[in-house]
Amino acid sequence: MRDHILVCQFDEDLVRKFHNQRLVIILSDFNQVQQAHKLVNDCQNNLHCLVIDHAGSLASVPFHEKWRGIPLALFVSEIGAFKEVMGKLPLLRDLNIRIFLSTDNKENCTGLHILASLGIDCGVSFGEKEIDWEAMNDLMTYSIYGKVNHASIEPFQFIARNYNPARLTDLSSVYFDNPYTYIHIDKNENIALTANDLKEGKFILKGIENVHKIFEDEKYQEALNAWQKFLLKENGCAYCQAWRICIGKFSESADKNPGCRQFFTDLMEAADHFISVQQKNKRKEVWQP
Amino acid sequence: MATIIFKPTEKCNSNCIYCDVVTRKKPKTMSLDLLEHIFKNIDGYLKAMPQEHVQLIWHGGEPLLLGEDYFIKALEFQEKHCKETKHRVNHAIQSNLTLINENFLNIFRKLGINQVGTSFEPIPNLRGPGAKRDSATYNRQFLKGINMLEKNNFGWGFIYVVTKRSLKRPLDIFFFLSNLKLTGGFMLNPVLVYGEDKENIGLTQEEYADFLGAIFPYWWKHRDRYPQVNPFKMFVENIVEKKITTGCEDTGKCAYGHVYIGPSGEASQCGRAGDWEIISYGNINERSLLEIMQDEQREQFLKRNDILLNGECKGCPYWEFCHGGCPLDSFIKHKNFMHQTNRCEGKKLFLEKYFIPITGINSNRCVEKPLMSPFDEHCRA
Amino acid sequence: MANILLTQQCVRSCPYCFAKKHMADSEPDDILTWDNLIYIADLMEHSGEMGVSLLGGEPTLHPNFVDFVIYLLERKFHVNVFTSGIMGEKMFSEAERVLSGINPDRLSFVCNVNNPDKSPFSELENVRRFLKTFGHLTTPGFNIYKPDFNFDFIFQYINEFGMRRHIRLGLAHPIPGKHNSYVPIDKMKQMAEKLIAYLPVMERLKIKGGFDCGFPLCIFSEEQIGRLFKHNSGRLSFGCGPAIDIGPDMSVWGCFPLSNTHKKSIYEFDSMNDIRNYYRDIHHKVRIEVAGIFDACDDCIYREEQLCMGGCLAHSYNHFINEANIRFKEIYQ
Repeated sequence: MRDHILVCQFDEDLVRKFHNQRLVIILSDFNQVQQAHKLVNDCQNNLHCLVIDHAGSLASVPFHEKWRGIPLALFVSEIGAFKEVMGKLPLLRDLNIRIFLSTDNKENCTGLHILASLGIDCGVSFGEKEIDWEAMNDLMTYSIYGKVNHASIEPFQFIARNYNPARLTDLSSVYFDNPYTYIHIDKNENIALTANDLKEGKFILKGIENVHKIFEDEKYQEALNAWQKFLLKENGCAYCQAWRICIGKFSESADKNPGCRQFFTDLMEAADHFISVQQKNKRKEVWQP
Repeated sequence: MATIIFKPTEKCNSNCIYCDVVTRKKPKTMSLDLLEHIFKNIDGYLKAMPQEHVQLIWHGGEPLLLGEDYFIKALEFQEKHCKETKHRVNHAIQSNLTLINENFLNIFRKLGINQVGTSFEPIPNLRGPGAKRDSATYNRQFLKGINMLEKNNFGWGFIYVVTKRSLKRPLDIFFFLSNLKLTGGFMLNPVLVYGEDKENIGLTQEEYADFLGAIFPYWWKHRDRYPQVNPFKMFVENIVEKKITTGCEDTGKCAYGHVYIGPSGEASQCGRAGDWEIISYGNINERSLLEIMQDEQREQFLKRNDILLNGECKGCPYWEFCHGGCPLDSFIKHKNFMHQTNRCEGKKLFLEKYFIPITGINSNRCVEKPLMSPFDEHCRA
Repeated sequence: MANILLTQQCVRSCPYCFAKKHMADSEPDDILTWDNLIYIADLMEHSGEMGVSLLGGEPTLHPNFVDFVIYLLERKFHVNVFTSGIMGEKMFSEAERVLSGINPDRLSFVCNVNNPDKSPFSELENVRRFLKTFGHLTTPGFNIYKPDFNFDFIFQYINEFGMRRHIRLGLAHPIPGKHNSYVPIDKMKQMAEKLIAYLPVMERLKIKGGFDCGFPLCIFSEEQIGRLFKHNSGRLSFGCGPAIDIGPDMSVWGCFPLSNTHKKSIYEFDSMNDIRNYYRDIHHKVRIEVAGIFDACDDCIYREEQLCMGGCLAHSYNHFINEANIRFKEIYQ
């Protein structure tokens, strides 16, 4: 049985309580980057990633040389002034960072296209507003089929890399929100299965010492099988061929904006293509002296 | 291998629209004495036939209604009466999974069962308990059952019964079923209606062929994604790999291979023959399993192959697919077994209208006039 | 090197403009999007072509002109910009701030300059402002569209703004089915004389002159060829091959004068080579019937050996249009 990766807000007291724990720390300020990194290491924990949700543009982020080597997931509103970003490109390329842009800004699909083509790993952050699935499809097509070397765009790469027709592929992992891998904890040590559950006070356990007991918890098992609720409906996502890679993530908007069906169907095709290319390019392993 | 379709109970906790076992007669359950007697008979049969194996398929009704103790008893009887032959007894089970629990699974393991056959229906109110067929409750329990099987590393596969209600959205149903079991592992069977079609669920052969035909192009294109979907896979294996993978009704080999034993010990050719009381091999209380397996009435099923090959099925390129179909279907239509069935027509329709044009693969498994197969060396030459 | 049209609008209205037909048929608001630029850049990189020309209309009218240039430079392309040098205040100051310091090996401009005596004052001021900042990156271009011409003013520009000491000499070509100014075939020798007359002053000023496409070899005498050979250190070109132009709507065609024929979508091709081969094949078919602009081209040994392509193919197309429209359609559309 594997250990979960814990996701929490940056709180020094909380972090000090962990030991030998893989952590995702959500920061509220860029100034906390080095501090959080140091603290996690000092407490002999393993930093999986620092997450920063920045309301401003990528151009306005004060990137720092000392961020090198620190795993970062940076959510920004947009690219912003292109020339500013270009000025930061050499450093950006050196950082262990993925830039997420929200679908709430229609220009961001293009933003991600630009970033990936310049070698900056990036990702789609699915927002509240209606998603332009056609634009998303173009971006996915570029991400998977693009002939020229470019950086990865999530969650497309995640799906392509992890897709296995024999099981469900949950893109929530890209956003540290898949209870199979990640669980969420607050400074009062309340434990929840998703970020939203934590926000809404739907706790499953309390106390760091109880984290390992989560596997015995019935609610946890239910959460892992939550996808089955779609199989109990007369219509909807379970009747879609691509459900195995979206697991109904967009079910609430699917009636009004059904483009998700075609998008995920195409993504599944792309994942098939990705696998076949990998198999084709698999190098023969020869004995080594 | 002798296959025993074993129905120790006709009781069921579900009232599926396509099953009349529960409503047609008062459901009975086999006594433990008779259960013990059957294991003695299995032992006797296997001792008389030292090269033979027996597959005991627990069927029903819903066999889990028998309770855990009943299966424990079965295990005890096997240990007691089949000491020297038990390694030649294989158990299998068909269940609706709504009652499954860890205790059952522990017993199943001891019986050597590591996978369970079941069936499922996404269209509401076709399966489920009560007059209204509460499919919501049924399906919730079913999914719990699946979770339990998977948690305990049991395999499972299922049958989907195609009815008139399925015809509106074949691809949707296919997607649903393949989402339920991601690699496939299911069989699309046409509903079997014996007598009056009170629920108006029966299909014409064309309707069944068109249902399969609506799914087949997609399946063919993505067959690596859904490797275990039948009858498609069986057709491909049959033609390309020349495997005899058809279901029991199409093998033409059921004559001495199958037996049905019902809750009172009544014996027949198979589950359908027993349910519909089409043919009787007497009762295991009065005849040994060996006698039943060698009943002279069985010979007619062997002869049927010759009669059809030289008669109605002569020259049919699809003989290897169906062998004239299930003799019982012939009986339903003609009141004797010696005709081909109208399910042949359905298969032929599917092959000619969909399979061959879509795959470009021809069958050369014919009797007199083989069609070319692109997979044959001599065809390439 | 492919030409990418960033815009389809121009700030000038030159009488010889061979993009006229294309501009007239295009949506003026159509500008190249970021996503399409990336697609083209990928296709070019995938094809192993790392040089790109940006043009229009006037490419600097594109609101993302500067961003596009630095993007392409970041992608390791050599960028060449065809511009009039006329740009708005805001664009100029942005370009000045970001692009003026770029290494000349990475970025260059070709500024097609018109005779100042015949240009409006405001246009001249704009061009001078541009050259003042970007002269060191800029090759002057001069389009010859009549047999009697004068580019003395270019020497002044080169010296005043430190421009590259090379003049890109273009020959205006006819647009089949349209009326633009170009040197008629029977006046070409006269134009050649005039050109040769410039050689002494160019040699004195150490300025080279290079021919753009479509100059026929035989308009120069043997002696003139000898002088040109020495002037250009042996590098002489009398070619006409498909220059691939890519529109903002992702249409492609084989050079501007022929933009109204055989336009395709870039998505129909897998590489730049595929595009080039497609148009080369079409051009070849045309040349089988009409070898070049002169009748003598049919049997010309230099054309057969591809020392000269027989002048601009647009003249050959004109042949078909003038002679038989129907035949043209049947054979080549």
